[in-house]
Amino acid sequence: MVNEKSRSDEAAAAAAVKARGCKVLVVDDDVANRELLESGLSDAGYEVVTAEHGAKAVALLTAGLDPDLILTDLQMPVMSGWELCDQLKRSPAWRSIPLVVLCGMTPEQRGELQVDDAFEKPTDLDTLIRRISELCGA
Amino acid sequence: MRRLRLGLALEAAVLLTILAVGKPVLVPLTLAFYFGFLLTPPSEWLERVGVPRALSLVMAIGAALASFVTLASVLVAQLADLAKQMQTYSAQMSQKVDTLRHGPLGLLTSFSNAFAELGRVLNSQVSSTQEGTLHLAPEPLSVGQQVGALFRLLEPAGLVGVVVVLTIFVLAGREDLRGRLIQLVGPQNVTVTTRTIDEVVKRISHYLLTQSYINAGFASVIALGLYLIGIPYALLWGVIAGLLRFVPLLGALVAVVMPSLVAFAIFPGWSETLMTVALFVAVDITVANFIEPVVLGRRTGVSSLALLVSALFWTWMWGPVGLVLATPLTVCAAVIGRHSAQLSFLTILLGDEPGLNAEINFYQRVLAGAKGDALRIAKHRAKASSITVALDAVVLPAISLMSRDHQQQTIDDAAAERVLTDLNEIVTQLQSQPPVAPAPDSGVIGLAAASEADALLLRMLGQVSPGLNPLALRSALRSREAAAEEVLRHAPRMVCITALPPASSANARFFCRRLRTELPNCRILVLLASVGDKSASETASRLREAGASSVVFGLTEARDALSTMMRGAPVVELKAASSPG
Repeated sequence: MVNEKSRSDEAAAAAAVKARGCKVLVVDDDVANRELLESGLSDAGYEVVTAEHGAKAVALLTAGLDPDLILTDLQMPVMSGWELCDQLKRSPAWRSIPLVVLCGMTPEQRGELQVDDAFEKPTDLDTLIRRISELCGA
Repeated sequence: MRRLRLGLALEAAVLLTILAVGKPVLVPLTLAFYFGFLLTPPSEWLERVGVPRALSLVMAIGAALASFVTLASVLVAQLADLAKQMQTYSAQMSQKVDTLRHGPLGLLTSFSNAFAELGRVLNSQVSSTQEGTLHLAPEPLSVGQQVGALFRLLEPAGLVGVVVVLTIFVLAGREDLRGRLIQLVGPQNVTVTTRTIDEVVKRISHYLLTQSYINAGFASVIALGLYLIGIPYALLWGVIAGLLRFVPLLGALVAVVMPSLVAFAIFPGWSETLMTVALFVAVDITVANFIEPVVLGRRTGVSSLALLVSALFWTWMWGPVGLVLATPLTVCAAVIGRHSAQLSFLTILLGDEPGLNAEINFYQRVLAGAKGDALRIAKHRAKASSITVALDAVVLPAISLMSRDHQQQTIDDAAAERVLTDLNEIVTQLQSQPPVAPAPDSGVIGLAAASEADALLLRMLGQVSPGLNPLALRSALRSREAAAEEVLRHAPRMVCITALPPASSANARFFCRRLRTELPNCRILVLLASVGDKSASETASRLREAGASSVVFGLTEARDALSTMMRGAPVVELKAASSPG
């Protein structure tokens, strides 16, 4: 049991080393969700930048933020996740950034938004981080 | 913006008003500085050989005044004589023109009329100078008119006196003037001010002295040539030609008119006229193309067009004096612009540097659809150095600028696509030899990080590094996970990723991480084309953190790094690649 835990800790530490330097932009209007994601990703070695809605995320990107991945909720005030996805995919500067949405979507909707993956809420954090790791190449 | 334009217009209007209204003060002052520049080198030379400053000033100014007075008296005498002969010349010319009137040279009639008119004007002026104004006046002048006439006569003499006195002060107190100017601009700008003053003095003194010598030589040769042809007043025409040569491009053309007309008027045949024209053309071509480039070089640092426009402006503003002062004033403005950020527009407008540098010019031509022009620029660069340098110096910046404009949506997708197509064709046409087929087992793979622009960059790198196997795997065509898998399947010893930030940065980092994880010994070189990108060093640092062995910013650098890495890269054993899912 102890060995198993130790092996798991070692794997987590190795993953954290690989993720070092990976920057994730988390866009969610729910403070609790944001904090949970920020804490989980930071523990996994990611550098996290947060925004409370799509417009804030666009402002950060325009100011020069260069994330390795964007993780966004869909239903948000000011600028929704759909609008954000649309704007990102229309911009030549941002269309290559991997995009993961936190909301249930049919495969058709996912294809329309051209997102790399979608997760139902509530999301299993480990599964989400594993997928983020793959998308970042970590 | 509108307020700014209004402000600029207002400033320009105020400046023009000051120049026009202040002419009586500004002209002698500027002339004094002009002669100060001209006489500083001989005065300094005299001081260096041990002559005290006061004496050196007296000698320099005395010599200049003596030359001026001697030349002026000879010229006035010749001019007076010419004026007397004008009526005779115009009559002879009319006779000659009569014989040609029915021919195709009807234009000469108007020349003849103009000549006769000039003769009448000169005659009236000379008789007024010689016989006195009162003689020409039908009625006695009032006291006020007499005082006015006296002042008009004294005005040129007064101007000469004021200029001489001011020149003495400028020459005697040149160090003091420099100190005051530095004090005026502010001690915190002492370096810039000193450098500006030094450069202004150096450039203008050199220019004036050298141009004066060249024009004096030109005047002497013309005077001698005209004398040998048999044209009267050869010295007068020579001196006028020498003075007019200060006017860029047009001076010599204008100078040829009068002696040619005199030759036409007094000689029965055409040979003297044609010889006169030929003399001017031959001497001017020799001086302009062989002597000036060697002796003068690009010393003024001012474009010919700027000099011409400046000559027009200052002549309009201050008359003949403005014409003489046009070049020094323009050089001053260009030099000041070179040392002052706020006035740098003056150097751009007046300087002899090309308006756009080669890379911007190349990109501007491609953007405008002028592929031929762009190709010429690139070929010119390739001929001057090499294809690698041409690709590095003009094509790579153009890709970077296009990518930036596209990312900022200054140009749309269609325009970006067209520019890329043109750039691809230019790169193909630049290639002097057919591309070398890469060795399939070279162990080096090229990978375009995301876009078609990255792919073009990779193609260029392949062109200068024949050992590279440009797979050009683009995530734009397939998922980047699939692209990474394909690279891993080849188990390369080395991977070269091309990326245009920021659009391709995330993908480039993804590939670095994947490759570093799966192939720990694989060398990863990233060519980051980021011309003028302030965050380039941060982007490079993040790429190194993601696993890049080396990050370079140019093709030459990439080719050299590739070559070094290929020599030293150990053979990589492929680890069992884990499934990306």
